[in-house]
Amino acid sequence: MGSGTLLDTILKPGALAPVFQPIFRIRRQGRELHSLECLMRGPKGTSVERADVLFAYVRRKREEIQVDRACMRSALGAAAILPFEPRISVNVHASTLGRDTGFVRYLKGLAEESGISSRRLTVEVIEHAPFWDVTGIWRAIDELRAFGMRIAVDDVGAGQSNYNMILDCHPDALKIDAYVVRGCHADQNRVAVLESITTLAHKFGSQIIAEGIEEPADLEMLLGLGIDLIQGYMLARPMSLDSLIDSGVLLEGRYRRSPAEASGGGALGTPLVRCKA
Amino acid sequence: MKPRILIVDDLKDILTTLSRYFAGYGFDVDCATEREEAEALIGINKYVMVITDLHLTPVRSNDGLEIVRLLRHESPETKIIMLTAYANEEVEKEASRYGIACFLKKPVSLSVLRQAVIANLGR
Repeated sequence: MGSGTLLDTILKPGALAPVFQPIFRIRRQGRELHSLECLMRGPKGTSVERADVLFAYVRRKREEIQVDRACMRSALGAAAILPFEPRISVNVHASTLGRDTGFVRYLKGLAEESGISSRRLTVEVIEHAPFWDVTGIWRAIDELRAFGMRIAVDDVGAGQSNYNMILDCHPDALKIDAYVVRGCHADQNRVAVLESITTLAHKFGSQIIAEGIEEPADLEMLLGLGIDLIQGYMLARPMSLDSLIDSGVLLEGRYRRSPAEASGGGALGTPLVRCKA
Repeated sequence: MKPRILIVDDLKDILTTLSRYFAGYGFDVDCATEREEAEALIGINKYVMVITDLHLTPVRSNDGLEIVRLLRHESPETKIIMLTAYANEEVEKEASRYGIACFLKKPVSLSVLRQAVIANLGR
């Protein structure tokens, strides 16, 4: 263990480790890569290596702004290396957007430095406490849109991500929390919540992304409800940059289907064309 | 599954020693040097016991008591042992109000601490 506070350790260059989890569009005949969510891991060998502990610590220290900025630097630095220019989602606290008046310009600057078009970026807004500066949020949302970035509300259906967040952010996408999704195939109450979120999303003109899919039966249920943007361990775990590039996921959906697949159709959750043996 | 404990102390070499010692006795050990780090871990993991120093910052605030308050709210069944080099009657009284299993004055030997853990966990 080194000297200094844990926060100092987190903020050291290279201490935060980005990983990428694919979000797929699932079709009956196969799947294609929709985008990648960049998730952050804390410094190796510390108590905050796990993302949930890392961000719980950061929020208790009230250091979301500083750490969100460090996460953006780390995320876009890694994303810059990715071939084929996939869409990238990054997570930002609502409190950072509300309080840090320079955050969006900072993010835009990082994107330019990294050679990433702002149009490839989606900011997933996460909320763990009611944000108090609604005008700050509105300003940030307007700036994000002006730069061509998209906005998603994360963890919909759980915790603090509630209607006022959706009203204030006018999101391009709603990400349904894993708590709502898991076990939906056998739970009519969960289905009712999913249906209500679907209706809401259609009224707002927002896409829906379901997170945390681990079971084929849940996936079938979601597809039946018209939810086809899917993220979860069943399809792909979060991967380091190297593993992601090696996996061939970045190529999925970039080619036409092979004649055999076009006639017979692939199984759910398999690529249209396998890119790597 | 191994019983999971959390040890909180601002002195990293003490943490390293205690962590290795209790891991050797079959515990799954998490460590924290700061109150917020301990609170983040308590919010996510379930601990059978928390061993915490009373003072975690150079300024002698009673950070350990804040951790105890949170534990009583979030995980009332977790046993707590509090360590301090600066005990006084007032702090001990407040600590016992929160049902702390044991209050030990530093320096404490490893065997005494282990006996206190065993006695309170009934192992």
